[in-house]
Amino acid sequence: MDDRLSSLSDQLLRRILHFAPSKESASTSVLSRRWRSLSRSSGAVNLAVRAVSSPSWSNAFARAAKAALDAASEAPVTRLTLRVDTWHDRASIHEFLHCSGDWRSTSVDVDLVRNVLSHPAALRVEVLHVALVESPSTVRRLGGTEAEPNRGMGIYKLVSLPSWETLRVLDLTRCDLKPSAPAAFPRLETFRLRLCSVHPKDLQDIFDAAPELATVHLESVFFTLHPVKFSQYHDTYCSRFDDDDYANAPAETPVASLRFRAAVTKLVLAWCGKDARDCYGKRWAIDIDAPRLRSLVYKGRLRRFSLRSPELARVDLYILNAQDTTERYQEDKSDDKEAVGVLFWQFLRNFTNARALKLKVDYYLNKEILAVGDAKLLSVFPYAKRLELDGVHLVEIKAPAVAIANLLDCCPVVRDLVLKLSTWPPEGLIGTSRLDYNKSIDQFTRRSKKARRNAIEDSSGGADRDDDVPDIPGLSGRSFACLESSLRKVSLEFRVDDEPISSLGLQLVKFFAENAMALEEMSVDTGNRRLYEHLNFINVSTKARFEHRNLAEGSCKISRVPGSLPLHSTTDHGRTTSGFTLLPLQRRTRMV
Amino acid sequence: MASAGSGDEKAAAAAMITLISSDNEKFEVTEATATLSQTIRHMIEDGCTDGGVPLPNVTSKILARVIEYCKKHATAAAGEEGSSSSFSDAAFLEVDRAFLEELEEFDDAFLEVDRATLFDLILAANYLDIKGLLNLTCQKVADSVKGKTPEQIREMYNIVNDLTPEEEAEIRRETQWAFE
Repeated sequence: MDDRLSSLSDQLLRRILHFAPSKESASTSVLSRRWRSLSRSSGAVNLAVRAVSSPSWSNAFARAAKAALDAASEAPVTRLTLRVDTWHDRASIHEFLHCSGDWRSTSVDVDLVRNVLSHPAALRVEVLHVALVESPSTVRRLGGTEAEPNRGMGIYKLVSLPSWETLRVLDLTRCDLKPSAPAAFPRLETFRLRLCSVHPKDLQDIFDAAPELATVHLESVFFTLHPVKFSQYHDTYCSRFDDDDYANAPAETPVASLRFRAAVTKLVLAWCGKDARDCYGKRWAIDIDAPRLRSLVYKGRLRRFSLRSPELARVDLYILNAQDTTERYQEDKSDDKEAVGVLFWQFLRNFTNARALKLKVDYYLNKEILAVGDAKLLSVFPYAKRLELDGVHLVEIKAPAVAIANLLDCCPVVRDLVLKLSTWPPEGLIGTSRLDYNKSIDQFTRRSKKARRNAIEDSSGGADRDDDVPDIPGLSGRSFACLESSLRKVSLEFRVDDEPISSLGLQLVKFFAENAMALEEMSVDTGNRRLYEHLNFINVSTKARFEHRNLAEGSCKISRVPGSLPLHSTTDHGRTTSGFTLLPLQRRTRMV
Repeated sequence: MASAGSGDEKAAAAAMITLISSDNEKFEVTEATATLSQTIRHMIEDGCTDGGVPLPNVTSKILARVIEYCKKHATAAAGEEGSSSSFSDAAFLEVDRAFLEELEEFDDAFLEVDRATLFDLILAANYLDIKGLLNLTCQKVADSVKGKTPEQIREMYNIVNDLTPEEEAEIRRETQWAFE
């Protein structure tokens, strides 16, 4: 094989070793004479180990970690990573980190993490990753839900960091961060916390101490919103509350408040919850002040959320509701009083300045809120140029169309619209919810079968029919400002073998073909079959027709029949196009 | 990038740089895309980009990929830093799209290349001084040695062992922890 690796300069080989695990990196010193001392000047120590509750294993790793740090003597260590994982429960990581020598006996005086972080070689670290992962399945299970808050706390309590002054990137998984001394992070740019619990005040101290902090990423972080009593911090499994704690529970909803300094431009809040150890019900609220925030990603439940960030331009929301019925029943009853729909639209009002909005909503929310009967909350996003709606789950015949109509109403100047339709229920939908779901799908299928059959016959046989694809209840016949002048590009994604939704998909193709007056391009992804086979119906539509097709590319030109402008068109047709291009939606292209 | 007068801004936003590959193919890119390369940034600052920037070390095939990377990351960065007044509508839509598609996904897909291309990308990223791309590609190579013995690494990358058995034994003793 072509040996390109050896043709790289020493400096590039060191760069590669900078990212390699320390063990492999050190072992490259026996590859050849040239490699002999490269790893010692790679400027990084990347430790990874699988934790086993065994004193000898623990001690061996402690020795290896020290040796790796000792060996990294020829260049300042700027990158330090420590990853401990196990297939067993969190206890084995705890025992591994604090193994005092005897079988299964631990001591807080023995501390592997502290030993690594306090090694002299780590004094000038710029990038620090510490990840304690109890098992890949836990991460999978916790990713994408806010469930299991009892498990969402750190395995290790990090009280001291090696290099406050030089740190640029701090990335912690399963480490509760509670600096014992006030600190300053003059160079910190990126701060990422995963799977841990933290008091908002401790977070706030870090934000306040980091003037350059630009990116904050909090994922599966559980906020401690009330003081928690512990007999001993590390003994988290058996923390108990006194009865007094319950008696003193405050009545109001606890709030996690975060104030960001001016440098923070990007914030990710994903699957964050409230630490269940304070046990005052599940409700809590988020209050964020971020004067220069440009982009926000929020994934999680619908909750009271208030955000002050006048420069926010891009918002990516994945709104989750309870995953299954059991959890719904356990949910604080007062959530029902606070109408979910109101909460949802209040939530969205935080983002009125957004220019780009991506919205993905859970199945239940789709049914209950997006498709609220009347969208009296018009112009929620007066500046939004791009709107992406993901996972329009079909629940009843009108719901998705009404949801789409509401959002079109809310975005009067949208240019770029992406709709991803699906009937597939979200993962985790079980029991009665699954039955309900199947029932509504069945109903829809029955009602739409005829229309669907007609469309298929038409596209295969070319039988002349006037209007085989029916109009859409809730959408057709309504007037939308964005359709009049701003909407240039529509992307639709649905699977044509996904029976009920494909009817809606085709209806939407027709709807936008006929009603979007400034449309320049429509991209349609129907899954596996060729696009034009499904679109013959446009030919027989009274308002638009094919001009020519380019079968090789799968694209075609569609022109509007002159004089077919909808009745509600205004006299200002300055931006009206005479036709648009229809393309198969381009999935991400990959290098061959 | 975020300068004051609106006229100047339009000029700045439209400033294009021509890059010329080793096989003499020309690529027109925006200044924002080009300046992800520190090498090109310095050339622009020195005012020596008129008539195009010749890149004799980079083939058109590799340059096209490098530009793809820079475009994506430049737009994403612009979205986080730029102020709304410094962009045209079209530029903003581009930025918005970049934000809504995840950058990590792009990077993962970007790295799905054969080994020869990967090394070419490393060399190009180094020559053009594009830190993000250099780290990304070096990380990819580093990942390939994970869990491998020295013998396997030698075989994988065709590395000839020129150490005497005595020397090798000595190094193994020095770095014994790495072989346990």
